[in-house]
Amino acid sequence: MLALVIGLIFTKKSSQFTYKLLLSFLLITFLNESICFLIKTKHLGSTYIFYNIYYYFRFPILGCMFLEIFFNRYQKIFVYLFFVFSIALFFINSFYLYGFNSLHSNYLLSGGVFVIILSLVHFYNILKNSKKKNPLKTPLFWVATGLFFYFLGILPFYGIINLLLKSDMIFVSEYLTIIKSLSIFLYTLIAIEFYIQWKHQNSEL
Amino acid sequence: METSEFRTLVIVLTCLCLLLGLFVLIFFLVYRKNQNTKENQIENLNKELLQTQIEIQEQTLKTISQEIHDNVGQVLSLAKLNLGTFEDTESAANQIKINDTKQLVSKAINDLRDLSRSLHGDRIAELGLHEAIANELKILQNTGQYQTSLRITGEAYKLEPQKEMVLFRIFQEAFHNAEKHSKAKNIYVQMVYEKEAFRLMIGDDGIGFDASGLQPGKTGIGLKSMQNRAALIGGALSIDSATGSGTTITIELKKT
Repeated sequence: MLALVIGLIFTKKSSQFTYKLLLSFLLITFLNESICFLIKTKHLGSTYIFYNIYYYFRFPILGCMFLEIFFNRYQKIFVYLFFVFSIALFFINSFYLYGFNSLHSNYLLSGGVFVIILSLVHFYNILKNSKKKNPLKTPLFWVATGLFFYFLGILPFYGIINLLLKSDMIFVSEYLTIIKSLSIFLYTLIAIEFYIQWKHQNSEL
Repeated sequence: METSEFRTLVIVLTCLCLLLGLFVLIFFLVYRKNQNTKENQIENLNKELLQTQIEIQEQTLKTISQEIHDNVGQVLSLAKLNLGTFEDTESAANQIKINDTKQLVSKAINDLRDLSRSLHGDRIAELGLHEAIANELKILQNTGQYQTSLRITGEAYKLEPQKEMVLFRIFQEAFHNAEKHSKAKNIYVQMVYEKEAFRLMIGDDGIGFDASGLQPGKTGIGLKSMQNRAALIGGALSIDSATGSGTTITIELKKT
């Protein structure tokens, strides 16, 4: 919520498209979490379908965000391939493997790995760039760091999420504390990113 | 596997992943910092090297200038004096020759004096950039081959002597390039004094060249030397030229 507010304040019309995508990612996340919260508190049914749809939007949006700042052809192809993979997996998971009332954990896992790779590629691009630029002021550095840690921490959980949901709900709720901490870390870094891009844009004017 | 063991395994795996992430991030930041330090060292070394080269060049020019003034200039003055002693002793035909020779020697003395002045760094520092450039343009104008103009925009201020010297040398290089290659009729210089920056523009209406074809690192020695000199004083040099439409070289120096 804080990251979203800061994003709305600091994102201007002239901001890079990648920041607009980041903002839309936050908006979709906020919208999804609000809907799921309402469904849960009012006991209206399962929230899995919403989470599944959200995940099929989340990873491609993050991919688009990095696509905007990648210049290497192969890096771009990698992102495009993931889009195709997402569409294919959506149909396979929805109609053959999991259905709609179970979390598509294989997509969560591959999406997590995809974002980790994107973050690493972004770090590599910063290293390769020989211009003496402070990496902390490079576009998307903070977001990449946040996403990198978030998905690294959440990956083991994603791998066995369906198993845990069926057999060990106590552990799930305990693990949620780790996820919440990682989320706070991620969204704080996103807020910092918005602030830095705003400062950088102002200094350029 | 027991539930507690399974839980521990998941937690340990998560911690390992996060630790790995931390390691990657620290490695990335340290590597980047080292890279920056190395780049800075190389840049400083290049700067020092360039500074030394320029100092040596200045010293050489100074020596040549002094040699022209003290040696060649004196010899020519003596030759002119000697020619003066022939005035009443020779026939009318020879007298004309002697007078012509005296004029030629006088011209040679004047040209050498100008050359000596334009080479001598201390003299340039004494005059200041504006005066030094004006003198050079005047000398060129006097040849009758070119029309020159000097325009000053803004309220003039003094730059650091070393910077003025480097700017003057860049000007000389650009100026000689225009003389040698441009086939121009007009050469103009504009000095723009602004609060944030100083700009020196040297332009001509000559044949020009395709500046878009210039690739970084593949420019000629003259252009490279101008770029290096500009970089040494923290300036930026840009070349605006196209075939048939003259050339303008701009050096922008941000005020610190």
